[in-house]
Amino acid sequence: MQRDYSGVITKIDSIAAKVYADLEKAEIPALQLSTRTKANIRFDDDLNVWKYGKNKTERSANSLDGAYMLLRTMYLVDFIKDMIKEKKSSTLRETYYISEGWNLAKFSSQNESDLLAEDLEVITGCMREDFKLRPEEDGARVIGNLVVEEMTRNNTKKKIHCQDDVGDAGYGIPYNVEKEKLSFKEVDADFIVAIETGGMFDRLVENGFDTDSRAVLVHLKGQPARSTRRFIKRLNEEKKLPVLVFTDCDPWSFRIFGSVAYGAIKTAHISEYLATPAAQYLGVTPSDIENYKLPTDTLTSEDIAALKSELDDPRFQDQFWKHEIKLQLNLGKKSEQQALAKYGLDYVTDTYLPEKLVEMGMLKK
Amino acid sequence: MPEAIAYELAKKQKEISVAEFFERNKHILGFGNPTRALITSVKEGVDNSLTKDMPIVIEDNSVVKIEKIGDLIDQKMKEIKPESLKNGQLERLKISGLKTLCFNRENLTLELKEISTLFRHKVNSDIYRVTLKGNRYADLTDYHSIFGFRDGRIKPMKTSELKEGDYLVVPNGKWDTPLILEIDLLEELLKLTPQETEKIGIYGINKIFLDIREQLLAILPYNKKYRINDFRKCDRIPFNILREITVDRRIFDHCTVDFKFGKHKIKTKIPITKDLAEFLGIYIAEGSISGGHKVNLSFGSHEKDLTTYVKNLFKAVWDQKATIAKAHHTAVNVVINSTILAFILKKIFEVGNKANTKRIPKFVFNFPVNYREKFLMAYLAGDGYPSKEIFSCMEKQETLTKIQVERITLATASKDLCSDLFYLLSSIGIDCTFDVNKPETRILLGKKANFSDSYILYIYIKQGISDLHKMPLSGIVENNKDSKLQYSINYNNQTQITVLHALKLQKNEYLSLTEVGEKLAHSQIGLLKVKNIEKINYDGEWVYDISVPGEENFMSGLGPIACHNSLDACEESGILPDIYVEVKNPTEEECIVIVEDNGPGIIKQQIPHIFARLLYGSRFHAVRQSRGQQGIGISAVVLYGQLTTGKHAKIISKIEENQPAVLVELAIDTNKNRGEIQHQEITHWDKPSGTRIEVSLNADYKRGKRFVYDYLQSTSIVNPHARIVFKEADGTEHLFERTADILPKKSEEIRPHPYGIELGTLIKMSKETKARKLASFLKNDFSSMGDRTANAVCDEAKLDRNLNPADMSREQFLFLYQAFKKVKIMAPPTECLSPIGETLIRRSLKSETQEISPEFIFTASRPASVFSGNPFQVEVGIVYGGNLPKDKPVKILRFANRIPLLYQQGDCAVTTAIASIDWRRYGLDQPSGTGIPIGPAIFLTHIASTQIPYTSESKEAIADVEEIENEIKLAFREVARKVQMHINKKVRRVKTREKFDLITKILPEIAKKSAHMLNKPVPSLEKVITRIMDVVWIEDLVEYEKVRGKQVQTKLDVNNPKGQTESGGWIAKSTIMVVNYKGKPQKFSLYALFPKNATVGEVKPKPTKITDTYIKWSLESIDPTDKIDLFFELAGLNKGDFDENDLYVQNINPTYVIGADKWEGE
Repeated sequence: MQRDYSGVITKIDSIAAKVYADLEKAEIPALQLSTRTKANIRFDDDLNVWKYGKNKTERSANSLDGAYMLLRTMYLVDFIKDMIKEKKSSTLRETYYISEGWNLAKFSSQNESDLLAEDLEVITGCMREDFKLRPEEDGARVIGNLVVEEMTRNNTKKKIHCQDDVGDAGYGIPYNVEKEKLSFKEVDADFIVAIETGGMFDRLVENGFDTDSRAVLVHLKGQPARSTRRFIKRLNEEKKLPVLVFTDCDPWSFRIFGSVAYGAIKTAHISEYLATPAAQYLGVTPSDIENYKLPTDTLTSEDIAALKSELDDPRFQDQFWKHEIKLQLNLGKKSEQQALAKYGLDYVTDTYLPEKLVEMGMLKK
Repeated sequence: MPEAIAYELAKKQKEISVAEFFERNKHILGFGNPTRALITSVKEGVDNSLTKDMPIVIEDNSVVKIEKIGDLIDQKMKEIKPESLKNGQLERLKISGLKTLCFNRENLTLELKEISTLFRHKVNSDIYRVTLKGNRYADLTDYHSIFGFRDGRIKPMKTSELKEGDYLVVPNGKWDTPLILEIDLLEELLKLTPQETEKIGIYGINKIFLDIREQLLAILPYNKKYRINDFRKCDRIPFNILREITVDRRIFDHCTVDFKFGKHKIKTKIPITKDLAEFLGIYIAEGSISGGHKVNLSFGSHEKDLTTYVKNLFKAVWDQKATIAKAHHTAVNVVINSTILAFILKKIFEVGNKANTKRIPKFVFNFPVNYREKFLMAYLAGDGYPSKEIFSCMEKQETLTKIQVERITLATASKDLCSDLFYLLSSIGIDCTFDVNKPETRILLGKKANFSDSYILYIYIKQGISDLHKMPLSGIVENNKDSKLQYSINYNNQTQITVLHALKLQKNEYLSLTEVGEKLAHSQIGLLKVKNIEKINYDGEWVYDISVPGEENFMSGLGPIACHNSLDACEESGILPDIYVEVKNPTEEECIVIVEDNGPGIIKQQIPHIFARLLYGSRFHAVRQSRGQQGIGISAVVLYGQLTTGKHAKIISKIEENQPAVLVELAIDTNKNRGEIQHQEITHWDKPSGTRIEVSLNADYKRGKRFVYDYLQSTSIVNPHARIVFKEADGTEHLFERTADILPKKSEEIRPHPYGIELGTLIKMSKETKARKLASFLKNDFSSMGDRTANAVCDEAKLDRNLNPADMSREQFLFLYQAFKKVKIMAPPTECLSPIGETLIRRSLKSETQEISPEFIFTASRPASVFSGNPFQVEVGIVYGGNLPKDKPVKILRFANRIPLLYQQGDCAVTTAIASIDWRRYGLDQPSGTGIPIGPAIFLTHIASTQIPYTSESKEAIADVEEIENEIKLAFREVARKVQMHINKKVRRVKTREKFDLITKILPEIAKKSAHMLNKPVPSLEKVITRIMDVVWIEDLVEYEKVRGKQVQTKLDVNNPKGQTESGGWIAKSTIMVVNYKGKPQKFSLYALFPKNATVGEVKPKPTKITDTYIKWSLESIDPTDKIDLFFELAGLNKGDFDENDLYVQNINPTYVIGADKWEGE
């Protein structure tokens, strides 16, 4: 299925045009983009997600660093145009290596080229995929009563049942989960559980939780990739399945929830594609630590700093989070989701999850 | 019985010889342990061979006058007995308080410089009269030399080598003399004898009577106390009372002076005014004194205007009314009857009386130049021709140059006056020609009248006509393109060109001037051709000479000519020292130390005295700047060797090239404290002259070897003129090459300063002085004591100035000693010190730290200062970066009088000073801001002084004298600031370099790429560049080029007595690029600094100003993105002495500029 990239081309041409126009006007060339910090995200009521606010940063040729960045931008933009023309794509890492041939415009690290790609996204409002740039990261695993249809590399369609047609590892979410690549055919489940750790995912699979509780299990693999988030969002919106997020109890895990539900700060410009505003946090909460008397570790100073930072984070400003975070700060402890094994391997599926699901109104009891 | 025992005991006591004392106290002298012993031995050996420096002091006597060299020297040698040398053929007297006129050999300017020594030599050769064009002449012996211009250079030439047509140096500019603005009559009267001033009184004392009443009463004898009322009544005190009371004489400022019953009072302070100058001028021309009270000026009766003028002068200057009386039918007199005026003219102005004894009055040479000219005008109005024109000029208050004649003639019977006038004219920059009219017998009024010689001067008014305003062509003018001049040279034998013409042609680029020519054209000296050289009969007993240290010349002759101090030049040896040090280690404990030099050698009789006698040779109170241990030195090594190994020292000495060397084996008899030659023989030695000492001693070679190396390396740093070779026991040779080809500036013996003297020393000095009067004793045996101060001290101590020091009592000396503290005495002059100099320190450090590849080296030199009456000077250097360890304390190298101090670092004032500075702000680590800083640096300190205050006998550390510590701190702060500025500059440069890269590399790429993507033409970047950079960018580069054969006149050479210039050397080429990256055109001035001892060569574009430290360009307006290249050359430096430009800007906001700082003025 051919996609129309002309819009993308126009948008990236406009970047070059801005720089050129600046030079013609005898002004120092500069590009402006939204500042990508915590201070600059605001909740968009229409889209129901967090997006960038009004603050802008400038990359200007006034300083040596800025000039280098502008040069690299020019080169990258030119490269993207070439890729589009040649119908090729490249990974971010490949892009980094290609830049070796750009003389002065060479990237000094992979991180630099990744950031530049994001800059372009922010400026143009397109997605990386529109630029024919792919990340390394792979998508998560899915097991559940769900049939997806994938357009393979041979340009044929293939149907996959996410329980019968897959092994214990589950269905691997591909890098492109757009409609032209992946569609959802049938689903017979009540909700989606997005799980942080692989260990917990395997536990639930082994315990047959997906069949017993009619859940679609998605393994996030830590901080979830864009494709994973997109998948969850599409599944939630198209098949109207509620999303529950099940992670460890520490500030980093809360952020994982944040990126699924609210949108990551770094991708706020495309939050509307990636965030699932309806997602809910299942556990493990600091209250659970208390109620279930879970084994704990002491919070490190970084943990405490992260928690405090989250108190300021606009995305965590509701009653629930404020209460939980303050509780955790008082407890001074954190806990892993797999700590539930304290009460036995089946405790999580037999006791903990059902109790939580009733509490959240997912199950009737 | 107690008596007997005492006798017994007395028998056992004996004098302990110095040598025995030494045997028991070796550690005091640096032989405490075997490692120290080795180093000390090497140290003493090396010290003995390097040039000895002794500082001297001469004080200024501010009245300037012209004196005959013979009279002057004879007079001085009568007052103080001179040294007699060369079997009475030569007499030499060191003096202070006199200066003479000479020309600065570097700048070619005229200066008054101190005379250090007076010489007279028995006539033992022919005397020649060298006469120059214009008829000025000098009488010289044939071995005497005189300054001239030959082979394109100004240099001394022996009289015997002079030929007609040679050019000699004469003054051609205005002299700056110490200005006298008023004459303190009381002070001048005090200089006369009491008998002379007996009848003079001071009037108008009632106003200040109460101030002096007590003292007056005190002096008056008890039966004459009523006289105090007389004083009040007459409003007068006898002048001589002033000699007995102590009072601030300023209270008499409003008073007057007169003889008793005199009618004309004269103010105690006579201001120097133009009227006074004119009065004196006219007086000398026409005045006379008769009867001791009549002051008379004679004029022709036709000179009515002049007469009236003079009458008005009397009123204006002396406030007295003169009468005009007819003398005879053609002459008119202007007369005043005033004993006091006559007295003052005779005794204070020393005008002379008879026609052939007239002299220019005292003080006239100290008048400001314009008043000197007024004096001359007035004189010429009286005695010059054409007097009418001169007078009318004078009346209109115009200058001499406005007189509409080509030349003025004056004639006088007084040869001395003629000579005075010649010099006076020269002092205001006017040339004249001299002539003598032989006497003729004339019939006058029917009688035969003998006229004496009449001396004539012709004064040239218009410039350009006198020979003094011309320069020789050869060696001065090059690349002539002016055809008229060329024609003249080819066909009219033109050999000279007027200075103005040459400069004009140069400006229009028709010719160029050599370096010397350029200097000469703007100098205060001129060149006159030798007209005649002839032998003359001389009936004097002596010929005379003086020594002027530094410039080695003085103006002399009838009509000033630059003469050279030839006697001093003969005495200098001027050999650059080559020192060879070898240490052998034949057994575990024994070392053999060998030190060899290429000096003048030591005569055989002196060898035992120098090498084998302790505490020999130091005159106790002569403050001699010696290089290290005083008087003990090398003998201690010999003694130590003898003690520890039983072997004798071997010394080889050779004093002349064509004579064999003598080898001496020397031992010290410790009982008698004497050296004894054990064995001697004649031997052959390849060197032309030199000394070699070989001593066997017990020493720890393994431990000591490294210290020896360090010591020799340090020594070579502070003695850049020395070449040192060190051979270790295993045969390894280290060479410390010299980095300067000139000897250090010679400094001479200093007299003690009164502030630093002890009473006992004072008394001892009085017994040894040659002076027979107290005032002379003070003036000649102490530094900073001139007439005024010596008199003030005598007055303060209430001692008669003419007392013979030998007759004075202890109590009188005590008064004198206390008076020293009460009278304000000037600090000792500090030109006596011999510092190393910043350039040489830097060069030395650079050469010694090459393997470290330091990042930079900075030096700073403080001006000389004083502590307890002793002058001293601090110089410091910092070596930074490179391979020096970053985490260790900085290395500190300490030097005192060019000797490294190796031990007791912790006790030294240098260390204390360094530790008390907060080095953290200069980029070094220093916990809590005190203590020795940590970092990759070497700190060097050198202190030069006539008296270094050591902490102890071993003289390894400098005592904590506040003044010295302060100076060290200031010096280090200065150099640290330079370091900081350099680092800041580097940081700024790096930052701006980044921007530079940006605009030269990246921006064009961005432009290209974006244009390519849009398929549009590449946009122009100029305006964007100026917006990004927004600076005036200044960048510079220094390169070195070796030049061969070119005659490079270098400043460092001037001190070389042999007068050689380097043929070849390094030229530093500096390119400065200025780019305007601001949006608007910029116009400003740029200054480039350079080291003081460098000479500037080519400069492009033409600068606005060049001084001896900077070049200034006033740049034309530079448009945005335009650039200007500037270029200049420096000579006289070694490669690397100057490797970064120090640039400053003016008339522009300094924040706009990168690469130069704000100009703060000189």
